[in-house]
Amino acid sequence: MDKQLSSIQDLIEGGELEKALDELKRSNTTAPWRDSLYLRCLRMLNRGQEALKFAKQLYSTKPTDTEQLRFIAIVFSEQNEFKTADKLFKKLCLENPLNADIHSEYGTILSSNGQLDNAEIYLKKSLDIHPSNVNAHSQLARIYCRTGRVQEGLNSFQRAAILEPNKAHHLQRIAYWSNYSELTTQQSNFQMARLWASKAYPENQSGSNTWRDANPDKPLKIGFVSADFCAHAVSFFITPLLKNLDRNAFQVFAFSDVKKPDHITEQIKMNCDVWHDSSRQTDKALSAQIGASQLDILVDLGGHTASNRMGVFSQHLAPIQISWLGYPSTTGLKSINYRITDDIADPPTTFDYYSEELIRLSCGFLCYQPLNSSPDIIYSTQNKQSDKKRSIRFASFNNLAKISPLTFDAWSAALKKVPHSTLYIKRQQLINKTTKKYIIDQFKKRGIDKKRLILKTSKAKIEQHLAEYNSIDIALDTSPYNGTTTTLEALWMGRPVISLSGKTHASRVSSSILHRLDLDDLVTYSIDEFADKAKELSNDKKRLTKIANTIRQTMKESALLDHALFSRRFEQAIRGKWRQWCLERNKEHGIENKEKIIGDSEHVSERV
Amino acid sequence: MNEFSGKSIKRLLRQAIRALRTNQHDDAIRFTNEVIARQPDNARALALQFTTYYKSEQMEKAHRIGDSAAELNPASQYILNNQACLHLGLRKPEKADKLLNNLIDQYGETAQWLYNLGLAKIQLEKYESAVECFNKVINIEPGHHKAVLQLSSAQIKLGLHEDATHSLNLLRLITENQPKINACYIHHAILNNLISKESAERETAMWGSQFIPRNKEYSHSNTIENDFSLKIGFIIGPVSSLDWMAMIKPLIDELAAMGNDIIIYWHRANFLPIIRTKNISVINSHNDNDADFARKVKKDNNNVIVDIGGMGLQTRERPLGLRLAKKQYGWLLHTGLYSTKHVEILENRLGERAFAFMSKKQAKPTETLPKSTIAAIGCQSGLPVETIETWSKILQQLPRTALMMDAIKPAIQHQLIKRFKQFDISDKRLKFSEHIHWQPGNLVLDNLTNNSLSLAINALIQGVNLITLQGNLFPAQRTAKVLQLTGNDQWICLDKQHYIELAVKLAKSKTKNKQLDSQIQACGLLDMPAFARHFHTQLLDE
Repeated sequence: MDKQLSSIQDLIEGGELEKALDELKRSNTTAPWRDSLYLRCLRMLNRGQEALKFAKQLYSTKPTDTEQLRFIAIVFSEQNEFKTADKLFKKLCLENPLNADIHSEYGTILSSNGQLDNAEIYLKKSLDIHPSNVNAHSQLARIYCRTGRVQEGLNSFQRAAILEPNKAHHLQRIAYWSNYSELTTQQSNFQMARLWASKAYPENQSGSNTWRDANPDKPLKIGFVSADFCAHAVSFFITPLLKNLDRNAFQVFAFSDVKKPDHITEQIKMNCDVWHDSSRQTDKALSAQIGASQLDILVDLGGHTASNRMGVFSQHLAPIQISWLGYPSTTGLKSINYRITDDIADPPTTFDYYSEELIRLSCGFLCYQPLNSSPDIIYSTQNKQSDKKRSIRFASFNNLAKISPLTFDAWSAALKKVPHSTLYIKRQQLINKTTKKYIIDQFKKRGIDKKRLILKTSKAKIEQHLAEYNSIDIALDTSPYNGTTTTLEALWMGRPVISLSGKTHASRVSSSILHRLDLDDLVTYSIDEFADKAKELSNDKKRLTKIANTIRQTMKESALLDHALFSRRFEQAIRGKWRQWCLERNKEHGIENKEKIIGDSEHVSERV
Repeated sequence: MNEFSGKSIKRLLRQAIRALRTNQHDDAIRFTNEVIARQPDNARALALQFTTYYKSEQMEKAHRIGDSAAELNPASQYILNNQACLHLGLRKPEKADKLLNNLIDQYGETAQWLYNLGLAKIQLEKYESAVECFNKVINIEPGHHKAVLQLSSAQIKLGLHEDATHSLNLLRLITENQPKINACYIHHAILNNLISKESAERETAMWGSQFIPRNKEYSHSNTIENDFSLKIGFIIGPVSSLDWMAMIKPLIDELAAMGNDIIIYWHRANFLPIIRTKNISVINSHNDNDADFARKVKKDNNNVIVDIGGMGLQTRERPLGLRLAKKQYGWLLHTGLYSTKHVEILENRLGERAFAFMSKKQAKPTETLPKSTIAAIGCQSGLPVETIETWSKILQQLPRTALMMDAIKPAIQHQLIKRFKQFDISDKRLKFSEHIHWQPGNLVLDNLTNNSLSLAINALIQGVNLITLQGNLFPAQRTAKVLQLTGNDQWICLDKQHYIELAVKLAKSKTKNKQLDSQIQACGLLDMPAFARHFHTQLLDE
């Protein structure tokens, strides 16, 4: 019996899952390990429905074996039968109070079903039982980060990374989430990203190993890779570019990792020449697909965010690879040649902490397309009911993860400077009691009573979400990770945004936006300045009204909404880098191309 | 006539190269010697000879000719870098610095040269430059663990604790399964309040689960009875001289006088105490590895072990996890957390009277605290930014007041000045002195995140107003314990706002606590024999 088990286990370990299934079918039906392994194989083969059917069949026989029940529960949870999975796991935890894995798996399932309070409890229990449970550390880290406790989250990710030193993805999470922490410097973030790259892709090198026709003026095949071609912030910025790219000069490919496509996906698709759904493809398969497309330029829109494709970009599949938009820092990959930014978000310094070379667009690195169905701006300094002046309401609808201790300090200082003012925070995660309590406690620690806070959860439609801005006076930005879409939305809805600028790109995005609108005075550089600005604006009802009345038009006339201008700048930058590549490529090829090189270089200088 | 007669220099050099390539080092030296005898400034011959000596590991000889070889071959990367390394080995950092800078100027920055340059800067005590060099190395080679290690050490020398903790964190992510590096990170993170209490607990528990062997505990048959003396082992970690002289040694002396047998396991590198008391023995365990240390201590058959060190670079928590004695306690210098359930925090048993102090044999004060000056203790190895920011806020509210800190190392002073400046406190308001003669009514602040217990007691004895901000972690609670013991709870603050307000108020009013002296006498803080009895009773207690 043991011999059979070990041979099946060998097949599973070796990835020969079909063979393992066949062996399992032939094995003795009374073997205690048979059914659990069968379920495991089906799951690994992504045969979810089959797994569910088998799990239900097993469950109806009222099994008592812990391992079997555990797999049944996991399958139920994966196949959206959360209630049964929940019931089963609860029972398993009660019956196995010292089994750290079961507690951690239950915590994971609760977390992926949005029950973060309970998830936290079970994950912590798992760690009390076994302090080195990696899954519990990394799951807990995710919860901490998503609910604003980023420093705790980073510490948990670090513990996971230490426990599994060979798994580079923990380092990737650290690099990603460190953008949210004020303790992160440009240098420390750079070093972490580089450390991740050296562990994940030790062979990763700069320079292209691909062959292309080094013709500086040919129409370029440009590919965009993203998991956010849907109702996601990225779509507000990529759509105008795709619409406006000169089709005589560029052929646009999109590689979409969107798991649940929506109407925005369709809109984006319409603006691409070649659309490829890569959501179910492995890195290897997508790399082959991109390789076959013979792209000249490949643009990554995700960086280290979830569902990223750094594995694909590590292979240098196009002569020029670029990082843009979705991620606020360096990827750490030498194979990504450039990163698109501007001189406000990344002011020129002696050493840029990027593995990529920076392309600073003079019109700013963002081009925004507001929602067509945006509600009208309504603003009054009077109380609707009593017609009296009302107290100032600040607001932030940013991601809770962005509300760092520094942000709490800045917001609390602003609330103190403006007596009777309130702060409105709206976010779905506030449904969790622990999260809500954490936020209230953080303000309390800084001397702000909870009566001055309006904490709301929201699952509203985007138009309703935008309409909420009509109930506030001033938007407060987060730091060190500024709002991007949130900042633009607040401005579009006629509300000034006060920002606290820092040294990292993430902490300077709002500065870049406000600069394009000639609102540089709303950018502050210290907590005191931030609070003073809040006070100054609160007392300047005239200016608040003026901003509400004019900002939309200002935005329409600015570079931020000049889609054609942005697209031309983008094209020029890409073409310039392409020409540079051609020049270098031809140089490598030597004397026979000498004439061409001279011709090219003159051509480049003339155009550039 | 000798064997080389008639051979041209060119031929001799050719033969030397051939000999070097075939590892016939003696021949290579003979050939090059002949060339040098004819042409003392022959660059090629010197280069070949240096290379031969270096490759055959005759470092002294290589070093002797290295400078001339480098001078005559100014473009040779091999000679310049290796001669720099030899200079570093002989602690001649100026020469190494010059050679490496020459290399970098010629060829640009490489990780190897920058690393060596960083080492030269450390030897030159130019820690800021060293930090710059090591950071550049890491930018080039992110997994260069030696550079990260040196970086953290340079940052510690500068008192940049947050940066050092970050570097230690990076180091533990690069190096796999290193108990000491992980311990060092935990120690620094807790001492500088860079992790929450929950994180500190998780880190410590994980450290134990990772590095303490499971199910390998020693068994103990010896029982402790109330009517006989104990055999007590003290593990002494990196304690300060004042801690040792005023708090630990007097206690050990008293315990020995009570008839207990004491073994001191000494873990400080700098000096080994000489104790002539019959029933106290001192064992230098500084260089023992954990396994040898565990065997050694187990063999001693102690009834009780008292660990005065806790988590840190020299931690002995791995041996303690094996249960070296039936009862094991952590006292005084721990982080408040142990990674093994086999160690109990002794302060929890001791209650209010958790320590005593012997106020003799202290360094003579060098100066008195000038007027309009607040004193600060616990600054010797720099301050965390949290403390600097809070103290700056106090100084901002007292524009004519200066701050006297007990930091004496110039590198630390320089950094403190620089960091206070970030909070708009000019260097003119910062003063430094190690031994101050306190006057009753002086206001003394202590390091917020890592309280200096013995310095705080010493200050209190002299009648000062000492205030503290009680933190969440044990190192930030020590002074509060003393203030509680002496009945001065009014000087314990629970939040920063209160701390700042109280400091400003006390600095302005200069109120003297007239009862302080009697309070100290009454609480038994200075009664070492009584404390030793109390301590002994707790050790005996099952």
